[in-house]
Amino acid sequence: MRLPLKSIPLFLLLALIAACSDTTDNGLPKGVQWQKPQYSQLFLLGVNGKDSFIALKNPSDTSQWLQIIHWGGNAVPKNCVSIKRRNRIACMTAVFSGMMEVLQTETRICCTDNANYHTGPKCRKWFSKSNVTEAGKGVTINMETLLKSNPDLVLTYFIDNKGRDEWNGLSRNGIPIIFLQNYLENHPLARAEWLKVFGWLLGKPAEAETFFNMVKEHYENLAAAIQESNPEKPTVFCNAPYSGNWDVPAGDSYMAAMFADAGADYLWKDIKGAGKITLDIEKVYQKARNADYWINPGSCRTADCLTQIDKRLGLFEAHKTGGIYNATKTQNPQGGNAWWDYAVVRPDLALKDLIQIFHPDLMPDTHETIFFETVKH
Amino acid sequence: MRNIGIIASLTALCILLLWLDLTAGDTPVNHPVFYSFRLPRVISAATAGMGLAISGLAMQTLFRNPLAGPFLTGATPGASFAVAILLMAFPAGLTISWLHSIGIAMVGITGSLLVLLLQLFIQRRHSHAFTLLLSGVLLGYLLGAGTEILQGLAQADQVKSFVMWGLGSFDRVQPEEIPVMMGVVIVSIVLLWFSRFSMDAYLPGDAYATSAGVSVPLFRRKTVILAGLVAGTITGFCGPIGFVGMIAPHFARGLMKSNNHAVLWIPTLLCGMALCLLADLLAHHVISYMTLPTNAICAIIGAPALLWIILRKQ
Repeated sequence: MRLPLKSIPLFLLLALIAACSDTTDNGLPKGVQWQKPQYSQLFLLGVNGKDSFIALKNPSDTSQWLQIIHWGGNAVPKNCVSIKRRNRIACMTAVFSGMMEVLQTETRICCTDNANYHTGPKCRKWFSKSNVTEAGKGVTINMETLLKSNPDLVLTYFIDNKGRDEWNGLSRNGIPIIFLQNYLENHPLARAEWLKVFGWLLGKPAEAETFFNMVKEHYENLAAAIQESNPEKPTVFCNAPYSGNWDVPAGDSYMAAMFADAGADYLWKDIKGAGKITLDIEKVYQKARNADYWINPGSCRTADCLTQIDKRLGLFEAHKTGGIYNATKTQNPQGGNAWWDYAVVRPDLALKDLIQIFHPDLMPDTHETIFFETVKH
Repeated sequence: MRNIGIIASLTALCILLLWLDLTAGDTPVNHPVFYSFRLPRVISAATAGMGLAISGLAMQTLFRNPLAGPFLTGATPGASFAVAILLMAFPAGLTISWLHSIGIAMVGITGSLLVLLLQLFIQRRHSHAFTLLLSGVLLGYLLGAGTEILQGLAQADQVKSFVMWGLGSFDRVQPEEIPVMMGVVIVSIVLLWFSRFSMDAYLPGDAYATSAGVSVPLFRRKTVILAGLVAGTITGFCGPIGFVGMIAPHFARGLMKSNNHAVLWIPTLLCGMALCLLADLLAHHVISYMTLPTNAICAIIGAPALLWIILRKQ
């Protein structure tokens, strides 16, 4: 087949464009060596000489990149968010401060949301002795206060596009905003693996790798032990109604994965999706009235609290038999709870707690739960 | 004869929807689910439908505005704001046992009544119906702004409680709450029924009503209190249920081709009941494994229906 002469300049032009372009076909910068995480589907870590990269996938369309973060020697590649310094960090959720504490980098936090929600002992010590700015007591963040804290970068997350757009003002002021959507991972180890992102970003990749490998090994060993012993699986459901509506995690969610690994039969395991579905009390009762265990019934720490919300909650078998457990053991009076930060980075300990609840005979007698406590009558 | 036929058809429709809503799915009548969950839910849907429809009819007459309803008088925003204060500003209040049970409902009713008392105070100085409507709309905005501020200041779980309450649901009404809700709604409907001739006389204008022997200020006061009490009670127990109060009287007028309140009363009540039962049925059974928000279903049914009525009239 002859190539038409007229098309040669066009080919040359395309070749030139391709050569000049600093991104590959998949939108990532060229020449970068990428490391794929073991569990997470939502990030890549990259290096190219002195340049470091974190590529964050868009959770709603994993073929797209949400952000590509760059720092290091050379000019900023196209479409990358550039970071100049990484010393003063605005950490806008307790999940992230938990990871920073594990890496002993909590002293870089200069600004946070509600300090009461951060339960790590080192974080709390740092917050009390230093001038860490609180930029949000409620659900909204005061951007002016955040800006005044003079952060080098902001670590945050968003729930919808509107929430994402709220950060535009800060990025226009030259402050890099990094959206870490690890809450959308659907496996506990995938969420914990984001520690590697923090390690990469904060210059502690080896420490992050070592810590995650320890957590992973412990988690996998516990799950494997349960699988090997193949005990009878107790039925389990979770959460509690809010004003008649009851959200339950879908079958591919974080909690569903943890229940499965802990050797329990989660009653909504067949519902597709990693999010939640909303049910009414009747539907939950129909399916879960004879369930053995009821986990995380909202903010209630006593069985009476549940029947005060709705008397019909007393009809559940788990309520009658004392099979209700809530991750409120580490809750502080201000509403902070290590379940929301430390348990994310230590899912192995959370799994151990659940195994202790579902299969106490398989655990050594000395094990005492860390996060969960019995909802007492 | 035609009117009796329409009422009979609407009654048959309501009975059919009641039966469908009670028996849908594979729950037998002798199952504990039926008495503890299904029956209270269906009764509260039927009661809320009747109450909101009559409240809407009374308010449309009072404001001489076909778009009036519990939202426009400030009754629903008042209830919402009061519940927002309870759930977001004083969440510790919910640890008091009596507040857990019917506390949210009572707070909702109180909020609604306080707004209506303010409305009456305004009405004493400026008795024009338009002023009442305008003050209702403005109070709605004001209370909505207050609710938004509370949402901005509250913690995530408190906001979640309020958002879930705002979805509207007949499921949250517990068996022991049904008599309270039904009592307030039925008594108010009966008391409003005694004003049906005053409503007919009031509709053409204040002068006509006065010449027909109606004390306009007294009529307004009574109607605002009763219609607001019904709306506040239902909002308190079930959360905000939109569109039913606005649309049910339009359906009734379209069917009966009359503005006579005695003629419209029963069809309005039945249309409201049918709308709420249909919304409840769809919310629970369109997707078998999950429940849809009742308020959204009401809007999905109500908005196109209202548009159809408007276009048909034109």
